[in-house]
Amino acid sequence: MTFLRQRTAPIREKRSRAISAFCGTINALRQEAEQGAPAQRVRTFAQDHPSDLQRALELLCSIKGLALVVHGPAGCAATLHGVSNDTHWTVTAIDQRDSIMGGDSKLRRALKELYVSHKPRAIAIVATPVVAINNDDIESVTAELREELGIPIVPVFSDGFRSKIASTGHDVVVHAILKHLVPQRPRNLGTHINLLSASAGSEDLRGLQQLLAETGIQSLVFPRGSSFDELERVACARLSVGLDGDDSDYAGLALQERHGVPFLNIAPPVGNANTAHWLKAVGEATGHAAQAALVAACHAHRLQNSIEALSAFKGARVFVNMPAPQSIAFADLLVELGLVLVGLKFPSYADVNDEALSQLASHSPELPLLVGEGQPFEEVNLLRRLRPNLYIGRGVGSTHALRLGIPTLDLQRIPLHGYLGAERVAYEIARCLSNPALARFLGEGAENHYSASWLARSTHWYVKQEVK
Amino acid sequence: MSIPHDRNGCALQGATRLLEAIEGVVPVLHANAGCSVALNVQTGARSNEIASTVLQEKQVVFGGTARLREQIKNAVQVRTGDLYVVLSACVPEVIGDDVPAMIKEARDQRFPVIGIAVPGFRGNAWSGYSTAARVLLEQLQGVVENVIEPTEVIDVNLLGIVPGLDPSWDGDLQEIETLLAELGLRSNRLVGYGQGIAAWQAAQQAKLNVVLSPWGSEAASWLQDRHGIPSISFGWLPVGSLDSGLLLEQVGAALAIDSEIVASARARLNARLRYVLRDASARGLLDNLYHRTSIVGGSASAVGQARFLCSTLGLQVQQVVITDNPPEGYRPALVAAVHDATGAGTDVSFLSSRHAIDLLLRAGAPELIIGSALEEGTAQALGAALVEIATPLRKRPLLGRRSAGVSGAVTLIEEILTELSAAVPRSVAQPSETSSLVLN
Repeated sequence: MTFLRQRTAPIREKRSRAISAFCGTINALRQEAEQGAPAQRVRTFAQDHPSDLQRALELLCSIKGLALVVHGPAGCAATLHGVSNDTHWTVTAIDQRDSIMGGDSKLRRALKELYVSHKPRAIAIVATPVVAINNDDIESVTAELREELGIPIVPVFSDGFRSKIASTGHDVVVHAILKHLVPQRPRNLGTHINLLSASAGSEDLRGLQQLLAETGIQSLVFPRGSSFDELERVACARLSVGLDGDDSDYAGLALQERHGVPFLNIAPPVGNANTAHWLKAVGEATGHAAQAALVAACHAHRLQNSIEALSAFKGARVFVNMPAPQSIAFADLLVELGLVLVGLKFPSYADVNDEALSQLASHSPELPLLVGEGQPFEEVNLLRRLRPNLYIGRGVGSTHALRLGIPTLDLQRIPLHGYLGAERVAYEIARCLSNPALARFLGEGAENHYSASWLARSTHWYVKQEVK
Repeated sequence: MSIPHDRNGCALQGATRLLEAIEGVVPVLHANAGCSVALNVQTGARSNEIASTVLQEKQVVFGGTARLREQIKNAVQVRTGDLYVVLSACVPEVIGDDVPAMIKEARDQRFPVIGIAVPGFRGNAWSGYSTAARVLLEQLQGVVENVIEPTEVIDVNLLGIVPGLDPSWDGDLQEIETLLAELGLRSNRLVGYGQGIAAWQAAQQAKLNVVLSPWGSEAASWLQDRHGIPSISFGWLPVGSLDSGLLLEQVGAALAIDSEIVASARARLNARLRYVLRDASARGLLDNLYHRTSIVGGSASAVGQARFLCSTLGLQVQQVVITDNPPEGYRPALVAAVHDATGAGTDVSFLSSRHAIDLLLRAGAPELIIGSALEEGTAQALGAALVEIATPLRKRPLLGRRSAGVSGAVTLIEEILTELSAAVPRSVAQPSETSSLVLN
């Protein structure tokens, strides 16, 4: 396996020619993609956003039974308070002296203390910017303690600055898990498939697993929320199905190359038509085509009630901020629901989305598109012009939209995928639009966060071509 | 020493939360991506609108000053604000970026910019507040035009309540402001609603600093040295009428306020709380309220709560765990403040590791824990009630809660009664031999 021989995962910019800054129409991005790859751009004004470290920590603490040592200054572990109740973790809390002299001895001690206190099945060491710069020798501590403690010790080489794309942190975690926690020689071929997702919510994933079960397909989710038992079985699956496009790609390709698990990376099942298509593709790949068609037919009518509930809001204008595969597929759901997509925001954009983007661009070439992790200042600039009736995001802050008087819907904890997802999203949209009082109240206050001169400028003002 | 489930974060986070709490101040992080992550999910800002240079590998290798120059110039154009504060994090400090040179360059162009070095490896978030508050006062003059009318007199600066880390900081400062108004004094909260640069300028003309935790001392010392403003080191959060009265007495003495006025204000506070407690008692709410209690939290709130719960409510406060790692020199006074109310038998510890705190609490087997979300597992194991009121919070969304004063005390009692009635005590939980039970 070419990737896994490396110390850690390649950055998204290299692996999938992903970009983190773009501002224009979807057609403009499509044209750039068709001519090779979209240009790498940078922002000359930027707002803080998660790095690979935060994404890695969020994902790692979803792995059941894995304990974490964050090797860095204490603040680097703060993300964990927001996401974890059960994971045992500690931070080496390196100080100024360690930042110069190295913190290997603190790391060694932290690992031992964590092991003695909680006897975890495995411990991940998560690197942070300061130790990445200082080049602390995490690998030798890992090798030494693995021997001494007799449990897997997993070095996770996040660094906070190599990639501009936070989701690189998911690849870094997948790399570490496949290398150190998934058995090299798996058991016999199982009957299940892998559902590859690093970021979908647990209710969302359960819903999809249920749908697959109706089709006669057993599944396990990797890497989000995996248990050690599931990690044992991930390499002997019949098939891996990616749910998050580029975000599933690394795991899918690695499992395919290293363990021969075929990898299917198709448009995510968002909306009725996409779900039917997804189910058909998964069914065909697993020999359950007939059952898949039956299940799809059985659920096809489900959205009808939701469409009726939304009829009062037909034509409502929606701005969507979600990862590219979900956002593009969401455009189809909006059509099914009689709503109008007026603008898109992706945290990043990678080449795996080219075909889907191209299709969308052929219908609505002039759709405004922003690419960037965070950066609400650009959204505020654009949203003031677009004036949508609803802002839909997933786990991104949306105060900036509420300040403009735009009602917001966060799909972080609401299922998005499958028939259940379509139904739930439609229901939530109807609720949100039926009483936009909060947005109205907040929107009546003056926008005093950004200067008038910025709001009058073009949205792409601070996005520039990168000078090599 | 590693810190299991660290609750104190880093200097940059504390400084960022302070600046975010001042209207018109725009923090500009000079850091890699992700550094502004909030320590406290409930009360720390979740804002994703904080300007940052988001340093990339190129800048880590070749230096980030050019990127900072560009970011400052553009931040001034994009964000509205009276003052832009560059907070430099670990990475620029490690790679040796000349941040002061960039600040000077921006100032030469008449941008209102100052810089504060708060690398995370230099201290926890509480210390970041302490440093940033002092540097902000120090550097403000000459950068922003003075907008204070000379006639606009502020009497008292309130220092040491830390935004985002003291969970009810905003409400507490407002409560103390109300409290001091009983003596006809005007307080300067410095942070929160309506508090901007003008408040920080006015601070330099105040008559008195009131320091409510070790973390306010640095700024108070500077104000004292530079502007001759005397300070009283109250040292903790006044919870309930007794300590609120004590604060009034100390402030009254420092400002030579007629003792009759102070005495009558103290009497009013006691009467107000007594009214509430008598009514509660008549309704049977305060029967059998003498639970073994352990308090876990930052210096100001843990000491303040311990004193109130023991002196007014009669709970048996047997353990106080101070989690914000205050400098050694301040610790004896904090211990004395607890013992003054509870007697010398109460165990006062300074710990921030969840694991160590868990072991300590288990040994004490309290029936009631006043602490953070991190004590939830321990409380469950002990069958103890948990009032979640220290950083980090998880269950309880705080918007305008007050912990200070009579209002704060009443809220705390309500929460204690709620949690006690919900808790399922385990009859087996008894304090171990090693911990002493204190009866007052």
